[in-house]
Amino acid sequence: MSYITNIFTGFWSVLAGMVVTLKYMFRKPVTEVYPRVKKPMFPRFKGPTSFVVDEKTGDHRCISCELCVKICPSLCITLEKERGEDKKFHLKEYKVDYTLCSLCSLCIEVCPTDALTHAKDYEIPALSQSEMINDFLKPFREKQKTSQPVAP
Amino acid sequence: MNELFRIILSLVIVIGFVLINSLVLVWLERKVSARIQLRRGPLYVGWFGLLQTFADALKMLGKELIFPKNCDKVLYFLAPILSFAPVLGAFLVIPFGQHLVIQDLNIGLLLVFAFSGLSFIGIFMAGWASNNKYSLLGGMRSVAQNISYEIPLLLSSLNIVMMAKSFRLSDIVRAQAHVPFILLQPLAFIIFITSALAESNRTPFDIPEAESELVAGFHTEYSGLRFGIFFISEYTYVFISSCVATALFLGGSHGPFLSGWAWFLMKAYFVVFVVMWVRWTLPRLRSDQLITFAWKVLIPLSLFNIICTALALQLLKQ
Ligand code: SF4
Ligand code: SF4
Repeated sequence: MSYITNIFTGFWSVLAGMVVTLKYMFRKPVTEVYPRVKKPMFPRFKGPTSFVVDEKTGDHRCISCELCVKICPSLCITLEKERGEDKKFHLKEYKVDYTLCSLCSLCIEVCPTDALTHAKDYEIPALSQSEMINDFLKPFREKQKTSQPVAP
Repeated sequence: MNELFRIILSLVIVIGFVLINSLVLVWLERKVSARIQLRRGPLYVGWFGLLQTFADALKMLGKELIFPKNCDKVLYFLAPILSFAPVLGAFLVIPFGQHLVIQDLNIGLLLVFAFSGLSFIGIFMAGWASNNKYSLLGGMRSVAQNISYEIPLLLSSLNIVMMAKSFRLSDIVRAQAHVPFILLQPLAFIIFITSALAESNRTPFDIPEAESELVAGFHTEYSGLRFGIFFISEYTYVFISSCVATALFLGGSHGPFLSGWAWFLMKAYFVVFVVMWVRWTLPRLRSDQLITFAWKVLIPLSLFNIICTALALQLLKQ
């Protein structure tokens, strides 16, 4: 008797499984066609670190205190500063080597002026290591060039 | 002369059809598997990725043909051809339409089974000649499986022969003008499909090429075009099984409105779809379970079915 019930339960479970897969066949696929459709990143996504653009001044907020350089466990931040005529430090250069950065967020947490943040960018491949060293001041320099035309 | 021309023409048509058909079936398989797994499958090359398999086939043509070390060169070379050629022979008697059949032999059904029984010799030769333990295991499993499942396959189609009183496939199709045999013989249909799955080495009966245990089974050592021929023969085998199932159980080319060959192809491709659907639903059986299933379940059931059919036919005659 168990022989016949075995056959029936086996056949029944096969049918049940087939119904499940048939239902899945008409669901929406969960995969994205990535390079053609890009998804917005999640709000807490930790992309590469970058400077915050201050809403009031339109400039970065870095005061060249070098706290981030000291705390960085990967030693990937290089900072150059000079003392201006007003006795304040001015940032001359701020570069982060993304081949070393471990995205640990320590520099972001330690910054006294909240000048750093994680960008939402996730397409940062490069063909050489030198391209991975990112100059943070570059966008600000370009902005200055466009906003203040050089006097003749 | 006329006959010779007819044979050559139909051979060319069949070979062309087989190649295009297997490309389409591979595409269908990818799409079905993708949709079941909530993926999208091929999308970009051609219309809905239809040319993707064509591109893959082109890639395969460019691959190097390798002879493994210490292999049996003659058998290794012959094996893919021997597994592919019998499948072509089976096309001889498939009734695609009322008159669309290459040679309407009066032993058509037996011829299909004879040819399909030959194809596993190619698989076993491939396993033997590759000089590789996985290939050999795959080949041996294939022989065991094919011998076991040939019996229920034949026994289940015997019911149909008893009802149609002919081995000629077109006669069998004609006998289903009003009622397709699947309604009268559902058990035979299930047994037939199950053993056809096993015969064509499809999951859940794909132990000859079980990729999780045997790398790729009998075609582990094959590359390039030779591997492609194994692939094509597998898909053509699936198609032939579906065609035979269509002719035996689903009423062949009978159907309203559309012409005969359209109905036949639609039904055949539906059976192919069911075969793929089963593949992406069920896991693979163990080798001993597989043989047990054939000898302890399918063969007794089909014998029982034959006795019932014979009794019913006798009682109805009186
Ligand atoms: S995220 Fe971490 S590793 Fe990267 S620059 Fe900041 S402190 Fe250094
Ligand atoms: S910690 Fe902040 S303010 Fe200080 S140097 Fe780094 S980025 Fe600039």
